[in-house]
Order: sequence, then structure tokens, then C-alpha cells
Amino acid sequence: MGYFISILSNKRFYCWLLLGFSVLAACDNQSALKQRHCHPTKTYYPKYAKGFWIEYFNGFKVIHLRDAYDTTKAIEDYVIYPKGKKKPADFPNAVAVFTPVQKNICLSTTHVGLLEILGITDSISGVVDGKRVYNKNVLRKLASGEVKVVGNEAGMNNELIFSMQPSVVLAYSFNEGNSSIPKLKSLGMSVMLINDYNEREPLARAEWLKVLASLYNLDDKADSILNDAEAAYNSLKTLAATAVKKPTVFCNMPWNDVWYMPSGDSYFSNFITDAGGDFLWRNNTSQRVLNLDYEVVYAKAAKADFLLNPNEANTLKDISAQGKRFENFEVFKQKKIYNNNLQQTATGGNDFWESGVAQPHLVLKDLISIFHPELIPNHQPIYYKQLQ
Amino acid sequence: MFSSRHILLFVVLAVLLCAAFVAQLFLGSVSVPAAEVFTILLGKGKDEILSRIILENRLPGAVGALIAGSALALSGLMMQILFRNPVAGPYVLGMSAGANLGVALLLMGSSFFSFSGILSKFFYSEWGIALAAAIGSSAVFLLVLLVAKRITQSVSLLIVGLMLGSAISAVVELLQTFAGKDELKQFVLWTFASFRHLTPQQVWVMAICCGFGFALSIKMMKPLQALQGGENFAQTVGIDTRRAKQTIIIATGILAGTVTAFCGPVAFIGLAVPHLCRMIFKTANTVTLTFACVLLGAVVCGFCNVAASMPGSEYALPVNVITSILGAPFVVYIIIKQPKTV
Repeated sequence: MGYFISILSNKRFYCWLLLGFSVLAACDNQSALKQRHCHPTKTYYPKYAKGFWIEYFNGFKVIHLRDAYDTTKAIEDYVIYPKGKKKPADFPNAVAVFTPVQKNICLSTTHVGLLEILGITDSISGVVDGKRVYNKNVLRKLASGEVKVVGNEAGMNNELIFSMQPSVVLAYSFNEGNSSIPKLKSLGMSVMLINDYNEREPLARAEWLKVLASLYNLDDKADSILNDAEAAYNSLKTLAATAVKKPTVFCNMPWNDVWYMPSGDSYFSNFITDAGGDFLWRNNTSQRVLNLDYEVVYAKAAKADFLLNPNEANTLKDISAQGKRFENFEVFKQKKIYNNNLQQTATGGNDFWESGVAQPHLVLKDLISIFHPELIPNHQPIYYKQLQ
Repeated sequence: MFSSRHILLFVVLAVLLCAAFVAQLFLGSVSVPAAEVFTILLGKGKDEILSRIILENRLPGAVGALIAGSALALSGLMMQILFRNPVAGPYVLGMSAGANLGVALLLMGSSFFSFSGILSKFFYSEWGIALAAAIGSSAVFLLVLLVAKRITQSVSLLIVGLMLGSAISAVVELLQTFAGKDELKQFVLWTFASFRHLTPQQVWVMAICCGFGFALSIKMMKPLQALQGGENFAQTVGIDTRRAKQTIIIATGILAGTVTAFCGPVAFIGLAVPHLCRMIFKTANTVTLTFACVLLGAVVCGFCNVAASMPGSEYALPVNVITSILGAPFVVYIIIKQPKTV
């Protein structure tokens, strides 16, 4: 014991310790700065998305994932190259995904939506929580057994996933808390994180189409889809900006006392602002969902013009069934409550969270027609419905 | 009847009770000037939104928290005396677990059964949840009652309650495994417990049910006093112990079941408050302890509700976060302070 104390009280010990750490840090920097053997022929930096970028090399691609909130933080790299070839030496730590990519497993229904826009839902061999799927093709295949349910929110069936041997398992960072993902990785499966949900701009979220497209060599198709979506989105945004009055808007419904409100710097907040609405919590730019007290929301939004996305509600009765107190809101009295579940299956599969993610211009059009019906007369909504 | 020291303590508790009630009305996430709260309470509030916040959001929650605190503390006291065990409470007898199961079956059992049409409107509303919780805790309570007829040892019954609780929790976990995201979230949030979502009608129902429970408990004061000396002692002083035990269990079931049904499983109040009363009042007299528990339970629950609303901040905390942070260390303290022989 006395020996340890004497070491700890020796100044020289700390000098050595410091030196040791600096050498380690220098080694780490060295490896990062190591000369690359090959150079990309093309680099794709998304216009809006912050969570990824892609490098194209001769014979392979590398998708770099980073934290959408702090782009200096790298998350993971994926190197996509032909099966049987040697793994590119420049990316020893990258997750390997072998081409041709054939079957995939979607751990989020959003992935189904992105694949649908690319026209390749046939590549799906497994999904999580089959009840939440909206896509007709996938539902049909689920019924016939061609597509399998590989688990639910509580857990995944690792053995089933492994036995299916998909080319890639599409996951999202949120799944990582789930013990299944490390297990699947240790079994040698290619697990790819699709972190579109961390993007705050609607067009940024849609840009994740590029990640999936690059797996299936559909990069050009994705470019043209995204260009069209961007053009449509921006012209609609310009149109909405011409509106004189901006209606006040709030979102969701509380669970017990806690009202989960999107932050001012979120996907929904940006949608509302771009559609010419005045989101009441626009100025709160927290990085996470706001857990507001019921009375705070009531004090601020009692006279608001519109309520969007009241959880699972289908009718005004569903809202008052949650508590008579909701009938006091002006939006309830004026029937100005809209939910994004116009296209929904009986079991809760909602197209808003599938194709809506990749088609932000269509969502924006719905929202503008809600806030400013005079700007888009006779619009047939695609995702949103007014609760009756 | 009471010593002068006890009377003084009752007065202090009564003052604190008023303070807890007033604090719940005056403090909240939205800051309302005290003068405005007074005008609103007098029915002369001009601002409709603030009036509704005070009268429809804070007032029912405030009354509900006081009733819940009293009811849980009293049921805890009766359990502890009945089972002669310092850590007995509605949790231990499996009643809270039973309420959990009822709600879990309703919210997450859709793979086994589901309601449609008008039935679904009712069952998936807060009334449906309350009913499910009440049915769940009553079912467990009936089971305990049946078992109580067969065994005479209080400790054995306690073990049966614990086992029942574990078995029920396993079923709840099974349901959670197969539940969807939203159902799971709704259930988990229910287990956090809350007072501020209570509507005036719910508070009325709570008050009536708990009033009945209080009346039964007051009737049981004498048998409870005798039971403190053990069942044999109670029998020698002429108490029909079996009947007394059944009535006490019924009273406890009503008190704890009603609160759990409407507010969710509020943690630790039932267990900790009776001990706090014993420490403050330094007595084993059940009459004193009954009134002390009713008052102190309300005071503690009221202030926990204020703390959970995090006055001045836009955010709110689940009530159980507060009751558990305060309650859990206290229970550990009680167990450590226990005489070694028990």
C-alpha cells in the first residue's frame, strides 16, 4: 500500500504518464493521417443532410456516417465492394457491405418508404413489427410469407435474421440500444445505420435516399428524384412565403401530463415554418423533443389556429375521449385539428412515415393547403386529414 | 384522548396540509401572480385561460394528490399493523401489481382480444384504464382474501402476496415483450403515476370511494389496536380476528385500489408515511397514527406534486420520480434501524 502511495506522490510518475498518453495520442493521429492508397473519383456532399457523405472510388464506394448534430463526430463508415474481392486497404475499420446487394431487412418502416420511392421494395426480405407496414407490396408478401417479421420493438429474432442471410440489415442508431444489433454485427452481418430521423430539414431527411440508392447502384435515379423533390419543395416554400398572415400552430397530444412537443429546430418545426405557419415553440431550439407540462401548452396554445399530429387520433371524439379538457382548445371548437394518418392501415401502418419521408414536397403541399387554402385551391390531400 | 404534544403536532400537520394545498394551486409551470390566483378562486378571474389552468388543471390535481396521499398512507398503516411487518404496503400484497396487470392487459393485450366501436372508445379512455386497474387490484385482493381464509400466519400471507406480485409482474413483462411502441409507451407512462391529469369527475369518484375506505378504517381502529399485540392477544380481548382482518383488507383494497386506478401506482407513500408518523408522534396508538397518516400522507403527496410540476420551468417530472427519490432511502433507513430480532 505504502509503495503505491509513494508512486502516486512522485512527480516523475506523472511526467511519464503524460508522456505515455501523448505518444498514444500521436500514434492515433498518425493512423488517421496515413496516406491513402486510392483517391475518390467523385464525392457526394448532401445539400441539406448533415449525417452522411459518400465517396466513389474505382470499383467501390464508401459511405461515411457522422453525427447530424455535431458533424465533426464520425459514427461509422461503410465500404461497398464486390463479394470475393479484397477489402480496400484504406478503410480497415469500415463495415463491409458486399455487392451485388440483394436482400435486405428493414428495422424501420421509414426504410420501406425510401425503398418504395426507388422502386425496389422487392429487395425487402424482412421487416420489424409487420403491423406498422403500409406498403401494399410488402403487406402482400408478408401475407404470403415471402417477407418475414423478424421481431418487434421489444426485441429481434437474431437467429431468424442470421438464417435469412440478407446482404444488409438496415437499422438506425436508436436500435443500437437494443442488444440485437451488436449481436448481429458479431455474427458477421452487415448492419447499416440509416439515421434519417436525426435530420432537421425535410429535404435533408429525403436525401438519405442516396444512401440506399448507392447500395443498389441507383445513384442517378436518386439524384433525379431528389432534384425534382427539391425543385417542387422550394417553389412551394416560395409560394407559402407570399401568405400575409401566418397561422399559429402546435403539435401532438400529451401522455398523462407531459406534452411531447417537437423543438423549434426539428423536422416538424421546419415543415410548419416552410408551409407558412407560425410554430409556437419555434424559438426553443433544444436538440431533443420538449417534455412540456400540460398547463404550459394550454397557456400558450389555447387560442392557436391549428393542431397537427395529435398522436393516433382519427376523430374529434378520440381527442375528447382523452379528456374533456382538450375541448377547451380553440382548435377543437373550430375543428382545426389535422392528423397525418389519411393513408393508414387498420393495424396502424402509416404512409406518412414511409413514402412521406422521401416526398417532403407532397407533405409540404398538404400543409400549405391547410394553413393557406387560398394558395392551393382544390388540393386533394395525400397524407393529412381534418378530424371530424 | 390525545396528549397535548400530539394535539400540537396535529395542528402543525393541519397547517402544513393547508400549505400543501395552497402551494399546489399557486405554483406550477405557468407562473400566475398570487393576486390573480385569488381572484380566480373567488370566481372573478378575467383571463379565461389562466382560470381554466387554476380551476380545471391545478385544483383537481391538488385535491386528488391530497386524497391519494391520505388513502395510501392509511392503507399502508393498516397493512403494517395487520401483517406486523414494517415493510408491508399495498405493493407487497400484490394489489398494485394486480392493477398493473389490468392496465397492461387492456393496453398491450390486443393480440389476445380487442375492442371495437363504442366499447373501444370507452376501454381505451382514461376511464377504461381506471376500471382495468380497479378490476386487476380487486382480483388480486380476492385471491389474497381466499388464501387468508386458509392460513392463519400473517407472515405466510405476506409471502403469498409477494409471490403473487412476482407472478403477475412476469405476465406484465410478457405483455410488454409483444407490445407495440405506442402501447408500451402509454403503459410505461401510466406506471409513472400522475395527479395533474385528474378531471373533477374523477376526483369526485376518488373522494367517494376513499371516503368509504376511510369510514371502514375508522371503524377498524379498535381491532387494529388489539392486533398490534398479535392475533392471539387480539382474540383474548374478544376481537373476531378473522372478520377484522377481512374488513381491514377490504378497506385497504378500496383505498389503494382506487388511488392506483386513477393516479397510477404511486410509489413509497404507503410504505414510508406510516413510519414517518411513528417517528414524529413516538406512539403505537392506532387512533393517533390513523389521523397522523391521513394528514401527513396528504402533506407529503401534495408537496411531491408541487415538486413534480417543477414550478417556473416549462417541463414536468413524473410524480414517482419525486416519491421514489425521497421514499427509497427512507425505507432503507427503516430496515437498518430495525431491531435485529425481527
